[in-house]
Amino acid sequence: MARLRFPLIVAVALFLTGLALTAALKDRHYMLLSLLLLGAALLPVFLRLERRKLESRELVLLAVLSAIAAVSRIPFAALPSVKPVSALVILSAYVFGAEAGFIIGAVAALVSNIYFGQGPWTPWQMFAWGMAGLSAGWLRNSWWMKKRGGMLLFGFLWGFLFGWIMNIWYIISLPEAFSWGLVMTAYASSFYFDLAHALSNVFFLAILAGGWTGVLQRFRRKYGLLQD
Amino acid sequence: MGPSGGGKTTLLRQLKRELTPVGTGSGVIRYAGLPLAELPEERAAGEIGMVFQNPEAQIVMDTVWHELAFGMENLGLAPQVMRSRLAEMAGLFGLEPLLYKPVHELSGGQKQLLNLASVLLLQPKLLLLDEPTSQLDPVAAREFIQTLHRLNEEMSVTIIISEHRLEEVLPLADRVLLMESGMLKAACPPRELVSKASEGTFAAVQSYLPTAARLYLALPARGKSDTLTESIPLTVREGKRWLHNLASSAAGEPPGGNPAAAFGNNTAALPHKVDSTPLLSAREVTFRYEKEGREVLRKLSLSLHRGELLAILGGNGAGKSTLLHVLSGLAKPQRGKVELARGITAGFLAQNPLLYFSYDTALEELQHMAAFARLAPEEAASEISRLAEAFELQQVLQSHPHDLSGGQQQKLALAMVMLLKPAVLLLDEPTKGLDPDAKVRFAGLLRQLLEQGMSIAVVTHDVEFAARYASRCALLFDGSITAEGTPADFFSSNYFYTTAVNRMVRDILPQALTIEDVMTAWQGYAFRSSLL
Amino acid sequence: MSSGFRAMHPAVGLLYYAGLLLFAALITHPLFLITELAGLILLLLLQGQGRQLLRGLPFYLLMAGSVAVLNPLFSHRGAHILFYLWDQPITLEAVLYGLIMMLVLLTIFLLFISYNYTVTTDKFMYAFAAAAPKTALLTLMAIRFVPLFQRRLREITLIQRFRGIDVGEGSLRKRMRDGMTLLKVLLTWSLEEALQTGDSMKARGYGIRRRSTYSIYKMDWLDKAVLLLLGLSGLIPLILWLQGYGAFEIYPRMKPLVFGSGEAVMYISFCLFVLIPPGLEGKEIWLWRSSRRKAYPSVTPEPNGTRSMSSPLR
Repeated sequence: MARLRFPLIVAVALFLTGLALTAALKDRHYMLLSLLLLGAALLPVFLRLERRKLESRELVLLAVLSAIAAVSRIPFAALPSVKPVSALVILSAYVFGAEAGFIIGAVAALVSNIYFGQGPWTPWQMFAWGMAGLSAGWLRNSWWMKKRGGMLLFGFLWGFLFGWIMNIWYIISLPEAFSWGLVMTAYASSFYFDLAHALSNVFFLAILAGGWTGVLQRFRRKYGLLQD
Repeated sequence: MGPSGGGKTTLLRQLKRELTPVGTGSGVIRYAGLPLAELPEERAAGEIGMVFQNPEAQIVMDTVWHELAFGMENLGLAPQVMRSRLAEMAGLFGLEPLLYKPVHELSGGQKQLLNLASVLLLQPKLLLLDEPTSQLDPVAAREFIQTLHRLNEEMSVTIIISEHRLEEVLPLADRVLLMESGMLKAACPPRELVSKASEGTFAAVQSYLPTAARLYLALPARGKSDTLTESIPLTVREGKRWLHNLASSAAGEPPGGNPAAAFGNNTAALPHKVDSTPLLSAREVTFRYEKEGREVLRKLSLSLHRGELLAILGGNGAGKSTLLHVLSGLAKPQRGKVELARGITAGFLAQNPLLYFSYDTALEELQHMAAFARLAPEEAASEISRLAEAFELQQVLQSHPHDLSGGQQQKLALAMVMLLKPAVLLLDEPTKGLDPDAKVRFAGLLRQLLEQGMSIAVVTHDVEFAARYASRCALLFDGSITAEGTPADFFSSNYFYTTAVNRMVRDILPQALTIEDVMTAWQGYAFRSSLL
Repeated sequence: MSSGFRAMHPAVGLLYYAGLLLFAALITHPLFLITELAGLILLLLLQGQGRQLLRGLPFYLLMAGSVAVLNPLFSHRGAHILFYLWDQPITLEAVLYGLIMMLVLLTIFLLFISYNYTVTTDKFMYAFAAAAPKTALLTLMAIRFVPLFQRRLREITLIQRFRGIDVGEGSLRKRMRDGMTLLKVLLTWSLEEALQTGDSMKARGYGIRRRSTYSIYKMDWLDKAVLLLLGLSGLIPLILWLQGYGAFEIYPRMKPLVFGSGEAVMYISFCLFVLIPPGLEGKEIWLWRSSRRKAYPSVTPEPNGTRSMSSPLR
């Protein structure tokens, strides 16, 4: 785990500093740059996946969890912001760890967008859900994440974080107008959506937590899958 | 061959190195002179191919061509090699029209053929098959076995297959291994096994043999010439020829009179005190899944009476499962009416028992079901223990439902349905994938339920099962019931769609459907012939 | 189904859409943006995606339009002040910049509609598999599972209704809980089966060596020619842009649009790049139409009204 955490932190830090740097330099092409940086943030985990020797069962397990997360998005398509994906990704990461969580989140975003339409938002969603999984995996051994309330709070926070990450790609199309006012406007306009997402996360986590972690942990035990 | 849980799968997995289960083992398996463990990885993967039971679960990729290429990609073959092999295989299997289809559009039989083809692309010298046809309907199963036969005859691929459906496989086999509780009980050519089965120790094998062989064993009057094992019949054709020889030597002239009279009530082994008022009836029901879709059921009328076992037969995609959905009230017909007699409920058991399970132990499943059925706690407990006993589930109540065997899962699901105390039970393909003994046991279970006054409708492909246990049969074709009647009337009027026994003896005993029928009738027939 | 531009090698499509994305982000000259937008609309119409375009348009216009409104509200730089709103200056530059960004966003949205149609997942994965074979494999497997799981979920929903698990009945809380129970059944079942999938992969030699890739795409001379043409016609505007041509400077002070000989070369080359795929599609349509008219006039007579029995006998 420790080997993985370092390059990832570097990548994420790189991404954030990159964004900040370009904003400071008043370069005009944030959109391209942000895509490049997103790629840089997604790269390390996938690179590790490529390098790592994965048992076929582990690969199928990742595919199944990603596909279930993607499928779970379909019945709720009519309700904006109600996406069980976040909850499923967080729970999968809670059981199988940060790396698996990131991959499941990112692949679920990519695959579900085959049905919802790919767009400039795809890499951002991959990043946001991937990060939700990654952070849940990192924190899974902390005392408060093991508590029910802690996990629910975590889900609540990610509801907002997800929305905020998704707002970035919108905001960077207005580099000249960048100001705290604009950020506030963008975030305020998405507030209710984010709140709905956060609350649905809490709800899904609350009813899923016991049952799903049970099922996943049974599989992990039974077949010794994805042990760190 | 051998009963479920006898170690067939374990044996096959020992032969396929990649899948050898964890555990302790001793002894050596040699492949082409080399111990299996020393075989290079690529040879082990390529030359020993394996096809499993579940057609759906084996597919890895999203489209047919991708799936076919998957194995070859794993072995790192060059694109040119892959292309020519794929072209060859697509031609052999007639897969060309399917090549670009997503796999989820294929039928079960097509999926299993795809699995076979994608293994064959690695050019195996040894093919291991673990009950490959148990999830297929008879037509697809026959096609699959024919393909195997061709591979064996034309390409001389060595094939090791474990099967319950031996009617078609056994006549093609060179050698039969009989496994029981992890032991190899016999290893000999099929006809030798049949002759062994007539002796005491192998009597249990009988239920696994093809009908012709069982008939051969069952009839007492075997001619003197029949001591030769070569003359033991395995197929319907051989059986018919043998029977005619036997009949002419016994009687010397064609039979006269109506032998059907000789076996009176024996056609249905299950009791049926049929009541005239229907418990469940469908009147001119029309159903389609989508507004613009095909009419799956068309002005269909059917009724189920108290205490009867109705078998609904029909080809693939005839809408049999849909009919059960409509009868059980899970789907609402667009036109027509489904009526259930006052105060009773209908229970429905789907083909796949896994659909029913959502808790961690079998006991929990039953308890939650009892709670849903609004049973009082004491009543629930007693009911559960009664059902567990009747369904032989006591040992596994604490297990996870997914860890049970297929037969146990089915029984557990049935027990869950029974907690709702239905008066009518609707079963979708309950005999699929069961070994012959399990089938007999399952029929026994149904018999108990019928004796308790339940009515059962079974949708099935299993002609033999319907002929033996049903009190009434109905044929679903083109969305409605086209023929209906007692098994004797129903099947004896069919030419192809009837039991193997009937196909063998129809010239002599047109109404005999099962071996028991023939046995009872034969005595009368032989007796009468000897008088003349 | 698959014809014209769509039937070409994936590399062609990827190069085209990547190029369009790059130009949309780099060249803010309104003429170029409008040309790109028009080219895309033409391509979409030729590909028969007009309906898709109309369906998405309200959302796209809302998203892109909000940019045009928000920019002048929050950006107050620029020399030409039009008027004051809530004591904030609204500048001509900010309005124009907002409009330009609106065009950029619209272009990107339309680009993705066409992309979703042309570069199917299969093609994307093909291009991807070379760089990241395991990720591509994982994604393909997930793609294969999605329709399977949807079907399973339907079956589970139907059967579980028998034990009172029904998302269509009861309080919202119960319905959502039931929905999750259904997903849990799906999860348990699918994970159990996934182990068999894993076995089947292993049985076919997964993981013993580096995988090769089978491809159903073959690059023919037309693919190569179009690739070359796209590459060249894309490179020229890019190089010229690096030289400073085609720039439209708004901030801090709007400069007049220049359109010199450099821009002319750049624009012609750019038009070529944008219009090659619509051209290919158009050619295909024309080809089929003319072949239907000319080549086999007698073979496929249109059945109209009463059919004469004598015609096959003649």
